[in-house]
Amino acid sequence: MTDPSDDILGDLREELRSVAPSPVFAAAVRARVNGETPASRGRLLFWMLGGGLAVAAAGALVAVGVWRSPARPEAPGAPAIQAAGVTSTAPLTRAPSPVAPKAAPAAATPRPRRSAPAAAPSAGRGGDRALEVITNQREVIERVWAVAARRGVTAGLTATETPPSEAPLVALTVDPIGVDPIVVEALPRADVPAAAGPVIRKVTLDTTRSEK
Amino acid sequence: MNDATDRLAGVFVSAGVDIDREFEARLADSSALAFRVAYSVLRHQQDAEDVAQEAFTRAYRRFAQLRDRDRFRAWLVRITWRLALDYRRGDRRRAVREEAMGEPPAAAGLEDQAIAAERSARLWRAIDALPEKLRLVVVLVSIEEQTVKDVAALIGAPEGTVKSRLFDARQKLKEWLK
Repeated sequence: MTDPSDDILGDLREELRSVAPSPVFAAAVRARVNGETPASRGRLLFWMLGGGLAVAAAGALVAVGVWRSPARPEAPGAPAIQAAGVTSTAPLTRAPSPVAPKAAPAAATPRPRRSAPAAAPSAGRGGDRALEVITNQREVIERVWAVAARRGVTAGLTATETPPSEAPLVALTVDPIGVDPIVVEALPRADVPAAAGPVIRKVTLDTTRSEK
Repeated sequence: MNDATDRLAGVFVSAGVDIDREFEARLADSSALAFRVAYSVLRHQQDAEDVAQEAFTRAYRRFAQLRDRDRFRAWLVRITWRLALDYRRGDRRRAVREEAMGEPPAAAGLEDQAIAAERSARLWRAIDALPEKLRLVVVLVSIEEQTVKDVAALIGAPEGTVKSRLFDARQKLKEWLK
């Protein structure tokens, strides 16, 4: 007993066997590719190879340029700084030190990038400035500690006697800061009419000028 | 400088001659395969020839880039199948042609031929209704008595996958044509 699906496939086989390409099929294919002579193809391959080499050379130059760009850290010991949550295309700028006095608005021109570490987040308007985070805090702190020790700053501790990692914690006492509230008188006084009144100036006569 | 350029071009030219020779052998070997793959989609002699010739032309252009020459037939089948499907999608005359296939023959003495034509039309309608993956397997198995192993090599799938697809295709065809 044969499977009916075998008959179906048999019919399909017969259908496909009954058709064949015409005798001029191969000649037609040759005619189609006739425009591409071996010589022209050789020249095409030659130029493709040359073009490929040129593209590779350009890519190598770009790679070297990127490698030598100033964004690379200057020294192996330099603090590694990376941008966290950068959503703006503005270039990364180092934030001012939190202890530094506020610069005047006129002095807000961009300054050259400094290599000294700073870890304060920038407080730019509209949040379009980059937040910089030091990722090797320990190394930076140790370097600061070393510089301070070299200058004789001990802050009550001796850096030479106690390594930074084993230094005891010092309790910091911060005095409460008293701030007087700023009161703005917003309500109009009852004894003064609401409409704008005349401006009264207190004038004092200058006797010396009047003599002139 | 010009001499070096000519010499280098000569190397490529001689390589091109070798490619031509090899391609000629492939053309003789695989013409029927490409044509029947195209015919299984288009069911029109001239259209199938056009598509198969175009497939060979494209294959010729990229023949030098084909690393594994033993995979030429599989490559050609894929090109031809895609081209035939694209051709059919863009062919506005297809509906007219299929309508003509369903029409009864005009002459009264051609009853047998009419029955055969009707049977053929039903078969192709059922093949067309198969999902593309199943259809390709059924067509390739039916061309030149190819084995499951051959078809697996042609479509680049495991033999088990081909067997499974063939089984599914047979079940569907049996159901539709009973």
